[in-house]
Amino acid sequence: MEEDFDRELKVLVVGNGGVGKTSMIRRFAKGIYTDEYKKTIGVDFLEKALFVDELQEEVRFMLWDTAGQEEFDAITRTYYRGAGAAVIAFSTTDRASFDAVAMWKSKVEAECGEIAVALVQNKVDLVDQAVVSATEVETLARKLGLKLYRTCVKEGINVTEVFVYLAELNQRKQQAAQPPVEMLPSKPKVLSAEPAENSITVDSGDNRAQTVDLAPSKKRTKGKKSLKDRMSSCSVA
Amino acid sequence: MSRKGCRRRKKKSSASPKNSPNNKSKSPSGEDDKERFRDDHETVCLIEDAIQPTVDIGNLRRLAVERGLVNRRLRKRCWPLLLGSGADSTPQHSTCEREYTLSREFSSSKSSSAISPDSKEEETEVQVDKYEEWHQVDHRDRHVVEVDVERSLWSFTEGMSDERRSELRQELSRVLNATVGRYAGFDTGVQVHYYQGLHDVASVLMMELGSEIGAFQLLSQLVVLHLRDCTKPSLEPVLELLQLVWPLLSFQDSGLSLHLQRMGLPAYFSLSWFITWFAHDVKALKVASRLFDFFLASHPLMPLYLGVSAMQAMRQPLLACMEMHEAHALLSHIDITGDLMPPLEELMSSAVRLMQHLSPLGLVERSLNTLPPMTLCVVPWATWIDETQCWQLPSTTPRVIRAVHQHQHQGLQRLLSRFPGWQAPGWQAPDNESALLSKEEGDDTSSSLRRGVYHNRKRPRVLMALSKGGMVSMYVVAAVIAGYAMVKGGFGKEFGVY
Repeated sequence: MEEDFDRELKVLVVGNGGVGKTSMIRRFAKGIYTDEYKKTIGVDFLEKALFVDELQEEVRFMLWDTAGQEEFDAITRTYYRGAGAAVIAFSTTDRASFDAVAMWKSKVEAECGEIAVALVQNKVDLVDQAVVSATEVETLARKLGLKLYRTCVKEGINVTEVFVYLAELNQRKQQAAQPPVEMLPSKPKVLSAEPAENSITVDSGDNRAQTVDLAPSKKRTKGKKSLKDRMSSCSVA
Repeated sequence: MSRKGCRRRKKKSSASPKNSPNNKSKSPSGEDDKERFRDDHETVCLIEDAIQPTVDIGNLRRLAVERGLVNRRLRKRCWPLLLGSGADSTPQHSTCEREYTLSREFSSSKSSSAISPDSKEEETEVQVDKYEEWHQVDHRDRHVVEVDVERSLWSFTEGMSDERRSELRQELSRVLNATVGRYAGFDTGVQVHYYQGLHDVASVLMMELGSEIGAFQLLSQLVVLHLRDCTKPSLEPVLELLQLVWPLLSFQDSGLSLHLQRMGLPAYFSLSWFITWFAHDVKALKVASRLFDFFLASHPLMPLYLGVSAMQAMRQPLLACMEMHEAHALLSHIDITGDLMPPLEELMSSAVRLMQHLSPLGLVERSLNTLPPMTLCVVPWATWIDETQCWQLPSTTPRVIRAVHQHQHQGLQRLLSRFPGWQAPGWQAPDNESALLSKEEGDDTSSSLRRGVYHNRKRPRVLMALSKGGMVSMYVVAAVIAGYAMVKGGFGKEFGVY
């Protein structure tokens, strides 16, 4: 089936605890919102397929949700490998989460190199409780060279846009990094499970790590469906 | 493909030995209800017998593992007993040395007033007094506690009013802060740090016991016993410990283990199993409490054993996973009472059997072949001390020493001689009576492994040794639990201290 040849994009969602990372991912992947979210222990995974007009292609987003507490860093870092994009989220009502943005960016860069990153200010509906000003957020975004999205996950405002932007940016970065000859989608690459391979790309300044990591996952084999598909078809049958 | 997988799964659940799994609440017939009631009644009687007039802790632990503690009243009484406290009828407990004491001030007050029957009440009063102070102690993770508690208690509170829930959240937050605060004045090695997940454990204690102080008293013991590796300044000890999932799974099902490891699956899917005792994903308090009966009475590594047993039960869907994220998603939110699983009681017994076949120390020993020696975690070396009737942990990770040849063994003896009171096993199979206190069953052929448990009189701890008879070399494995040395020998391995 055609969908087995989707483009895949591994997206990390990082940021301090309680800023709404899980809610954002659920909103995007399942279109739902509820207050009853538990905090994430370690890392969680969800996926979502979406046709991205700008790319004229369906993208399968592999969404990795991470725990915010610093203690979990060693764990979450393990899952950074191979990411093509990242969301750095903070909350309008949590000053510490805003102050931590630069740190999250450098954590992502240390593991993944210069991948596509977007800055997300969540809970913009709670302006009356805001502890960061619009100007300082914009200044920070400019300083870090990140596109800023103001979202309200609760109302579903601007959420999908973040991920569409990341898919585009990822595509652009990929094209810039790789000479056209090598862009043949049929070129098989083996994604090694070994930790060392692509993880040390700190300060390399180029986008190689990201392109190398993405290429293999674009190609899905043997008509295999996602686990979710299989599980749901199972329970119906 | 999918149809087939489904049919198999269905078949499996209906073919499970117990036709009326008592953990599955779906439409149990009246017959089942009656039967369960009879079982519960019998269990209650057995538990009463085990705690009155004196506490028979061995019996109580067995009941907690095999049958569960049934109801809130019994849990209130028995959970503290399982952690080695509240056993006022066993004066021996208080006089015995507790190296890894829960709280120095209390253990000293305990030993001084052990004879007085009021001592327990006094102690509780002191704790209540101090509780007010402790939960206000400032600590690194106060903010994390706050955001976690805000998102807590969605489980176990179905149908509860928002007001009541927010009251409970305040209690929960005090319990968590006081647990950290209680140890704030101690050396860094003893201090306790909050981690995301501790509040899941605390919620179960609080909801089941229905008491803030009761939850605090238990939790503040758990954080230095079963959960000791989780409450260090970083979670690194837990990460190290979780690697044990692989040798454990390999022992149980090497094919499955290979399949999962080949796809590069990190062992961290088991994180919430270990740090929340499955409470993060269990939805019913009844199930969570039953699991807590089991874990409180078991070796602290039991959550991993249970998880691995559950993995075995979901072997087919796991083998069907082709990519790491699929397996991670399946395992990290494992539904321990889900359709794929056998009845909970059965799952727990298979975990117990697994631990009988491969003890935690045996597991550590096995891990030495495939994993780097552990240097951070201490929980795998937990041992139950009969004299004190509580778990004991070393304060640092035992060191690993390998010895193959006789001259190396001599080196080993020299090393052990630095630990006063320790005796190295003889170079020949250790049948020397003073050293060998218990032998593995099945005994004595020269090819079989022999196990000797060595006691040290000054430190009531255990040295375990495996010895393998034979012409060429001897195989020595010893873990000096409180002497902080783990000794391991093997064929062709170089001698060294790691």
